[in-house]
Amino acid sequence: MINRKLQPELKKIKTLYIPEPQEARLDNQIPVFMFNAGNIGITRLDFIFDAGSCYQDKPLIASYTNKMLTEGTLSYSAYEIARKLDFYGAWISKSVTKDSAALSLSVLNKHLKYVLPVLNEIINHPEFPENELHINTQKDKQGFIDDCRKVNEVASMNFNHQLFGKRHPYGTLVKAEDFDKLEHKQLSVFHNQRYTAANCKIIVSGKLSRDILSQLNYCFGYVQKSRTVQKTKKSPQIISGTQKQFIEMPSAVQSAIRIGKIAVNKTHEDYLKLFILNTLLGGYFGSRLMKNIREDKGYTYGIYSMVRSYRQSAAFVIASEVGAGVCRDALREIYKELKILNSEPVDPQELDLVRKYLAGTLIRNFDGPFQVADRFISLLEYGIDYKKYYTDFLNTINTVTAEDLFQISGKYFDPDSMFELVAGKQ
Amino acid sequence: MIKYSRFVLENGLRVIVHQDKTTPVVAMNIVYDVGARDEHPGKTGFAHLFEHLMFGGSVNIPSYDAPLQKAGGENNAFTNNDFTNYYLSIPLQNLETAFWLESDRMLGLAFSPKSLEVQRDVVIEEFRQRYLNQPYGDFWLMLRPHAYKKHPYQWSTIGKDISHIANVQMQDVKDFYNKYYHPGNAILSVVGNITEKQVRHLCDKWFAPIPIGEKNFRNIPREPAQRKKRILSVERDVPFDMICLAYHMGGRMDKDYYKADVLSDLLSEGNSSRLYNRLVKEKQLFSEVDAFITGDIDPGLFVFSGKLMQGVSMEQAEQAIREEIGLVKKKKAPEKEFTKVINKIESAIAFSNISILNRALKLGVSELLGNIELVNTEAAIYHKVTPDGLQQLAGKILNDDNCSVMYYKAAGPKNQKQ
Repeated sequence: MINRKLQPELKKIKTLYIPEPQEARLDNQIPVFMFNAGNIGITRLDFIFDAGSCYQDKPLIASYTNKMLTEGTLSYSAYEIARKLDFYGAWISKSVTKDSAALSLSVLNKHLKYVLPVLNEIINHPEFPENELHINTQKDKQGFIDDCRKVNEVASMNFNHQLFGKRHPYGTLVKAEDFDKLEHKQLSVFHNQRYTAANCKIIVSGKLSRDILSQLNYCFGYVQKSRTVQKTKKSPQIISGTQKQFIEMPSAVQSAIRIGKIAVNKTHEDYLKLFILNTLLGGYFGSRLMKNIREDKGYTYGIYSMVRSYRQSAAFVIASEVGAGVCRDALREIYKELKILNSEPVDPQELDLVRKYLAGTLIRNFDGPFQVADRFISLLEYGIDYKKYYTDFLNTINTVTAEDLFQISGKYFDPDSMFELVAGKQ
Repeated sequence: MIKYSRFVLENGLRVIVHQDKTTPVVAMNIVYDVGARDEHPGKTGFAHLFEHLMFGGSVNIPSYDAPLQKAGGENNAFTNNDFTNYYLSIPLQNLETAFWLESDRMLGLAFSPKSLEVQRDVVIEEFRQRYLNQPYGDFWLMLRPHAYKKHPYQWSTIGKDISHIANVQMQDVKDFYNKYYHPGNAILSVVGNITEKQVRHLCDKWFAPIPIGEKNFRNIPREPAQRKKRILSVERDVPFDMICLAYHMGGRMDKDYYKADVLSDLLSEGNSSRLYNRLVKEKQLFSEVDAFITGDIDPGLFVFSGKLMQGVSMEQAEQAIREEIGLVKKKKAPEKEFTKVINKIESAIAFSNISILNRALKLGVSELLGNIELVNTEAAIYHKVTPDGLQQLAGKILNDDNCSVMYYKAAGPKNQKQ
């Protein structure tokens, strides 16, 4: 008979296979990082530019410059671009963070050579046509107005503003009228300044064809390299807003909660320990917050905490949507968990569980070329050595002590230092 | 090509193994053949609430999550109208923990009163978060009973009403478990760097001792053919109007299913699609518009839905959608446009096979549908669809008599502009 009460023996995860990219440069010095692996004939190309929202003078410029790349170029209309990409079964996704802008293409290898010239047009010769800009901003504005009725969206938009303050580029708050103010000219200027060869990195992943580099060089290696990198602007000091904020939304049946503060980013020596402690507090399904607020009290469908790392700063944020009637109780319990974290070192068994869970997460996060590329890209903007970072990560997971974490808690999770926002009903 | 082997344990559990030597992780998927369509009309939302209770401890193991996390694993589950699915991924070296956990909750649950009490509250918060506290969140709660009069697809997996969830008793939980959660009603699929022999060994050890259960026979009322156009008009406190036209179509194994899928893609997949270009870009009638199929196992719906631009009337919006429907009925899709749609589907299938969890899910669901080979033949089936076939299908289902229209009107002060 098997003993069903006893968990099968577990093996400790001591090493992590971290594939290193093959590095090359195009003729114009654009760096290319290649992760060649996998058994499905698909290639993914990621173009990363230093063109995030922190570089814009007015709201939405960075995101619309990125979004409008596919909405008309020197040779093709928006429709022609869409038709070509769809015809070859290619998928393009575009995204903008506070620091970077990305354009990612996924395509079957057999179609890559037909799609690359279109991609060249999109990246190097976008025209940002007035009428397309108008259509896009007007429909997106309606989506934005819908979002303003959602407690969770309202809380997210406003909390960064509260933490970083109105003068800091990380604290920008978008308003509905900003969609009407965008101009064609602003986008083409932003594109000229920031979507340059000197500002670009290319990451290639998948089961790569032999001539991938020469194909890339043919399409993207000719763009002049003389354009200088726009120096990163020194951001103004962070001047946080009011410590407690309540945004009333009278028809809400749930309230969205945010509790958090400015923290440290991936370049800081405390970051990995902070990340581990955050996991224990609210970073996974077995976390203290989830166990208490959801699994014990039933106040919410979910509660999470996270450390959001940006190039020049970071934010620690606890987020949840809770029943409007139990909002006060939920807030009280969240602060209680922060207090407990600050009054006694974590239990060794609990720490052991978090160690094993995180080690497993690392293994799962390096499964296949696209996942590996994602890990690599997530560190690009910090200039950190990727292999060293993840090796340190696993080491820290396996060696961090309860005492280390107690110090981190005192430094970053002091309940009295937290900012708070509630959107909904209190 | 997904190579797999399949075997059945004596207690009826179906097992599928697909070896992938390139991954350090194993995906395990278990489909239970029970969904919201199996619920009693007076006790809806139950299959989904039950899914939550599957994490509240089993007969020998007080907590499901912690031991899995200790093994470096991660898991989740979902319930739809047709089935309930549990999945996890775990580093290969700790795979046995997954067999231990999943077999124990197939063997028996802890039935803890505290778990029932708390998960009722959690699911009620889920109901509020996803359906009540979002603009347009109750859309499906209203469309379903409008389109279905007899078939249990008339309610959503979350349930018809919060009171159904609030009233659940422990005896309901036990009865449901005994009826549906046994080996003969489940399909296990395992994907990773593991052989059939290894999986057989682990199954013999952990799953084979689970007693055989009683076979279920479904007796779900058929939805009678719709004879007349239905109109439902509601007002809600949302910023903009929304419109929906829902047409009855065949089920997942119907011969026309793939035609319907291709037709919906022709209409609204990608930025070069018809609806996006003509109705969003050219005519600027909608901020977003979509045509999609619900993909249910029993006969489902072919749905058009769109959010109207400020100042556009419901009549204009409906007229524009009807013109597009008229066009697919009247004119065969040009060869080049048709090829584009098929190409895109082909690459979507390839991309969806990247993830091991996805492959495990597909294997389980294809087996549930009664044709596991679908995991490898779907692309070829799509290739057999023709422009003529699309036109015929459009003529067959996209008719007024078969249509349930819903006008979801913005009640509040409309002009939110400045």
